[in-house]
Amino acid sequence: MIRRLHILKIALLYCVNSSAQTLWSEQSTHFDLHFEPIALIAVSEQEIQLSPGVNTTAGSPAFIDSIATTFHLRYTISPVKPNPQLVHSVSAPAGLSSRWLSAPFLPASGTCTLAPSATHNETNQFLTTAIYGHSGTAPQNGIPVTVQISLSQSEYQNLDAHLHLFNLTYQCL
Amino acid sequence: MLVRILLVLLYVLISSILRSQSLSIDYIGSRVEINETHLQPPQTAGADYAASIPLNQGAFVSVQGVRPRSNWCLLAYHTEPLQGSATLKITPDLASVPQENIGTNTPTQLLLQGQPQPLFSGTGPVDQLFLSFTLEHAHVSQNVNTSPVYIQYQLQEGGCPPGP
Repeated sequence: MIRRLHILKIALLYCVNSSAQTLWSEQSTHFDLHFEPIALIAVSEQEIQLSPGVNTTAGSPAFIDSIATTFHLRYTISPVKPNPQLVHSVSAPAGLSSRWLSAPFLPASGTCTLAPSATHNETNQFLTTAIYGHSGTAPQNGIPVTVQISLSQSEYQNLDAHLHLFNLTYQCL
Repeated sequence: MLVRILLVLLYVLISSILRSQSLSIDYIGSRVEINETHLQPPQTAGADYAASIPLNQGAFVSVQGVRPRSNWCLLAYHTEPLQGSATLKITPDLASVPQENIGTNTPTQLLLQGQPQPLFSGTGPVDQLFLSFTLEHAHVSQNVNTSPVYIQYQLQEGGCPPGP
């Protein structure tokens, strides 16, 4: 009898305690969160001066063997494809020999490796090299890509305009 | 024998209580779009999603069949986590219901987790309680395609426990 009363006491205690947190109703819901694919690529614009600051005693410009500038590549690409790639194209102005250099980089998310350095073929054709690797987001301050311009004296003297453009183009594939 | 009768009576009582209260959640839309305008800065190469993105989504909550002065607590949790390190925050709009329907210890917001957490403390029947949603810590590299958000809501007797 005592044992039964003890069980009753526990049962009532359980009921009293649990009644404070009785689950009245429950509902399962869902909605879809859709992330649209993003492909944003940008390169910083820079202007460099090739004019020499020193003249020779004969009055002709001093020989400049090379000059380099660094562009900053920024990209935000959704990893919607398993093997995405960026294609880097450089278009050099006529009369200039150039090569562009790029250092491997490691963005904040995943790994990405730029293609190795390449040399312009000296015919002013597009130089296209792929950037293979992980897609994702790059640091806001960009990834440095250096374009090095080599000039011979004759090339320099044959420059016929004050402004020559190097066009850097990136395409996401 | 007495114990059995008592437990049966309690079961019938609880069952009748369970049948009387109703909880209804109605979302404004079934699909929410996240795109390049949600980057920080927006539409900028090299940028990632903003740390906190208010979603173009809301929900109306209705609690009916409760006694006018009875206290209750609305809880919520996710049954499947979001992709990557993304999280979802739910904010009840306290101005969307009469002041007398707001119970004690009502949370100001809820960071959705795998275990039920208090979302709103109510008193009596409530209609059209509005909930807003915020996506946090999403990353372009982790959050892609379509991801369903499963949220389970629970209506519990008694007010919400005090927050931390």
